[in-house]
Amino acid sequence: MRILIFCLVILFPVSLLPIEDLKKAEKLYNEKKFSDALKIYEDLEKEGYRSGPFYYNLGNIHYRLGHIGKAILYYEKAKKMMPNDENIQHNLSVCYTKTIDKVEVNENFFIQSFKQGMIYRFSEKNWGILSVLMSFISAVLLAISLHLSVRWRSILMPAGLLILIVSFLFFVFGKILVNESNKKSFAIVLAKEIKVKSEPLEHSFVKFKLHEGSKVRIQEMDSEYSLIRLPNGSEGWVRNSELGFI
Amino acid sequence: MCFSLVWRNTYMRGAFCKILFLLSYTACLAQKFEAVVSSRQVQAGQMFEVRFTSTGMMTSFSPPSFKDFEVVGGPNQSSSIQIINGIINQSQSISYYLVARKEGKYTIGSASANVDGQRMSTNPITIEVLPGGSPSNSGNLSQNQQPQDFSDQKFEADGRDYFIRTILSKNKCMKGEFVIVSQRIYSKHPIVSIEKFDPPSYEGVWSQTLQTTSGNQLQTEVLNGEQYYSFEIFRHQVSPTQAGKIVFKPIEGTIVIRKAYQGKPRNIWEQFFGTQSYQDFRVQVKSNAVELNVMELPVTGRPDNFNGAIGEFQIRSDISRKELKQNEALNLKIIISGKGNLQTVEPSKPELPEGFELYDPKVTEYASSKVFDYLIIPRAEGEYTIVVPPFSYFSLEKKQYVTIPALEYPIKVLPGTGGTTPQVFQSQQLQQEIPASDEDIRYIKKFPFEVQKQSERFTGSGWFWMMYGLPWLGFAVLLFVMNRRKQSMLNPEEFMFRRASRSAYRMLELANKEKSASEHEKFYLYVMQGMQHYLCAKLKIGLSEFSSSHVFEKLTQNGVTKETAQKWIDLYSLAEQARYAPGINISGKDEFLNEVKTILNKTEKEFKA
Repeated sequence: MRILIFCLVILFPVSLLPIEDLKKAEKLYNEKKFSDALKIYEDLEKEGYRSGPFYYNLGNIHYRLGHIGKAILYYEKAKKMMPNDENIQHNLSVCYTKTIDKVEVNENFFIQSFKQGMIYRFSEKNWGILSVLMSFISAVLLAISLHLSVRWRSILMPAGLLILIVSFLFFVFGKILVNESNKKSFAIVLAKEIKVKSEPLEHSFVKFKLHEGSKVRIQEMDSEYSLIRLPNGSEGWVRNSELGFI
Repeated sequence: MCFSLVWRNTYMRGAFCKILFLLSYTACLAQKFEAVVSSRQVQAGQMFEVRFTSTGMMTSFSPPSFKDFEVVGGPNQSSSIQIINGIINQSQSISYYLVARKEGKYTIGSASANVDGQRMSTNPITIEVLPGGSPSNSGNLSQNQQPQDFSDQKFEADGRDYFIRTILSKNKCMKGEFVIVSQRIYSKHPIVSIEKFDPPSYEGVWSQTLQTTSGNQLQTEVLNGEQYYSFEIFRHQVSPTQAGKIVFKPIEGTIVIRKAYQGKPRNIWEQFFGTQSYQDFRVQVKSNAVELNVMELPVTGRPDNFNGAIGEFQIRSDISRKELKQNEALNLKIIISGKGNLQTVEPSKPELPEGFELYDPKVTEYASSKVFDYLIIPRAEGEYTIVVPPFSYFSLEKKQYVTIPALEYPIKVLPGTGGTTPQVFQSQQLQQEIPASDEDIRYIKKFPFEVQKQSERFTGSGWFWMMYGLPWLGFAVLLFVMNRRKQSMLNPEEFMFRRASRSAYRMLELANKEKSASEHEKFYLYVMQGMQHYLCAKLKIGLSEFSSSHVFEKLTQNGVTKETAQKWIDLYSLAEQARYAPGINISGKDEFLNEVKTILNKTEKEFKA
C-alpha cells in the first residue's frame, strides 16, 4: 500500500523536491556545521517547504545551536503533522526539562487519540490521492456494472457506491489535516523573557512574565498582539514577534 | 358521697387499684438516692470520697455544702445501665474527693436531686476526723484474715495512700511554648503492677509523647514529709495552641499495690522471726484536674516573619559554592540551634531570583539543632543574590521578640554548555524529584522523506477535484451514449431522421474527395446518394417511394417553401444528368456541392415535423 502511494506521489504533479539541498544539509549536520545546515533549512522553509520530518530536523538543528524555544516550536510543528512519532515526543520532553516555566498544555484527550488512531496514518496528500483512486475505482466499477447482467450488477453496483463513500471519507480526512495545519491554536515563547500584559498596548500593566520555550494557547490574534492563555487560566497579551505559532 | 358513687362502679374500682399499684411499684423501683463515704473515720489531711448514687436518671443535682472539708477532686460523674432478666437498672453517681483539715466530728449535709422526676435527698453523714498520723484503716485490714497473694476484694482505704499527680513543668506559659506534663503514681505501699491506663488526651495543645523517666524502676520520693513509692506513667511535651486556661483532665486507672501487715504467728518460726505477711490489692487511682494558664504572645513589636518560634535561638547558613555553571546544583544549609520549641520551628524559604529552582529541603533534627538542606538549581546565567530571610523568635528571657537579620550570598552563574545536565549532589531521595534530563535528543530523520510546499496542498485543491471528477465525467458520457444507443434500437426511423443531415454530410464529404475528372461518375453518385438518404430519412419514406413529385409534395407538407422544394428537384435531376452524361459540365463541382449544402441547411431550418 505504502509503495503504491509513494509511486502515486511521484507520479502526481508536484514541484521537484529539493533533494540536493536536503542531502547537503544532512551532510552538514553530520559534520556538526549546524549553522550552515540551518541556513539551508531556513531557505527551504521560506520557499514554503514543510513536512513532519522536515520540521523535526529543523528542531534538531536549533537544539544543537542552543535555541531551545525554536527547537520546541519546530518539534511541536512536527508533532502536529506526525503525532505518533516517538522520536519527536522524546526530543520534546528533553527540551521541556530545559525550560524555566513549567507549564503543561494538554489537548483534549479524546480528539487526540482519535486523530492518532486514524487520520494521522497518512499525510494530507496521501489521503487526497487515495480519495481520487477510490473515486476512479468506483466510477469504473459502476461503468462495468452497467454492461453486466442483472445478477452481477446487483453485486457490483453496491460495491461501487460503497467505494464512492469511502473515497469521500478519505477526502474528509485529508481536509481535516489541511485545516489542522492551517489552524494556529498554540504558540511557543521564543524570546528569552516576555512580559504578558493586561492589554494589547505598549505601556500596559505587566501581569506576569514567561520564559523561552513555554507553550501557550492562543485565544485571540490581531496584527500585533495575541491573547494567550495558560493552563492555570491566567490570560494576557503578548507581542506576536515574541511568539512562534505552531 | 362522691366516693360511694365511684366504688359502686366495679370497673372503675379495678382501674383505681391498678393505678395505685403501679404508682407504688415505680416508687419502690426508682426511689433510691443515697450518699456513701469511703470511710467514716479519717485522718486529718487524708483524702476520702463521698459518692451520691441514684437508681435512675438524676437531674438538677445540688450538692451539700462541704464547708468543713476541702474539695480536692470532683465532681466526677459516672453512670451505668444494667439489664438483668429484662429489668433495666440504671444508676448514676456523682463523687467528690474531700480532705478534712481539722480533727473532730463533722457532718456532710444532705444532697438533693430530681430522680426520675421526683425530688429526693440523701441522709446527712457524720465523719469522725482523727488526729493526723494515727492508724485509720487497721480495722479494715483486720477483716482480711486470710493472707492472699491477690485479691479482687474492694480495698476500702483512704485516697491519701495512693494517688496520681499531674505535674506541669510550669503553671504559666506563652502560647506555643513547650511545657512538660508528667503523670506520676504515688503510693505508700509498693506498686506491684500497673494494669489499666488509657493514655491521656489533652485538648487545646499540640502534644508529643516522651520517654518516661522512671523506666521500669519504682522510685521513692518524699512528699509533704511522707515517703512514697512513685512511678511516672506518662510524660508528654505539650505546646498550647490557644491562649487562656487549659484544663488537663484527670486520668484514671487500676494498679495493684502490696500491703504488708502483722499477722498472728502460726508456728515457732514465725514467732521467732516475726510474721511479715502481705496482701495484694487491686485499687483504682485517679488524678486531679490541673490547669495551665496560657498567655497570648504580645502583639506589639511582633515581626511580620514571626512564625511561632519561642525560646532562645541562633541561626546559621552555609552555601556549598558561589560560582557554578547553569543547570548545576548548589546546596544551601540553614541551621537553627538553641532551646525552645525547636521541633515546630521552621525558617522562611530562601529568596531566589527568577530562573532558579528550589526543591523542598531535607530536614535533619538533632538534640539542640535543626538543619534544613535546600537544593537549588540555577537555570539562567548571570550574577544573582540568594537571600536567607531574617528569622524572628520570641525570647522568653528578654520577654520580647528578637530578629536575626537576613543573610545574602552573591552567586555567579556561568553559561552552561548546550546539552549539559544538572549535576546533583544530594541524596537519592531528592534526585528522584529532578526531572530526568540526562538524555540527549535523538538523531535527525535521514533523507529521503516527504516534503511539500504549503501552497501545494492537494486535498480539496483544483487538481484534486479535477482528478476526482474525471472518472465521473467519463461515466456520465458513457451513460449518455448508452442512452442514445438504446433509443436508436427502439425506433430506427426516428434515429435515421435525427441523423439525416449528418449522414448526408458524410456522403457529401466522400463526394468531395472524388472531384477529379476521372472519378466523374463516382462524385455524382455520392452526391445523389447523399441527397437521397437525407430526403428519405427526413421524410420517412422508403427508396421505392423516392420520386420527384412525391418528394416535392412531402417537403411542402412539412413546411418547406416551394422554392426550396423545387431546388431539391432541380439539383437532383442535374446530378442525375451529369452522372450519366459525362459531357455535360456543370458550373463546377465545388459550386455544386456548396449549392447542395446550402439547400440542405435551408431545409433543416424550414423543416417542421
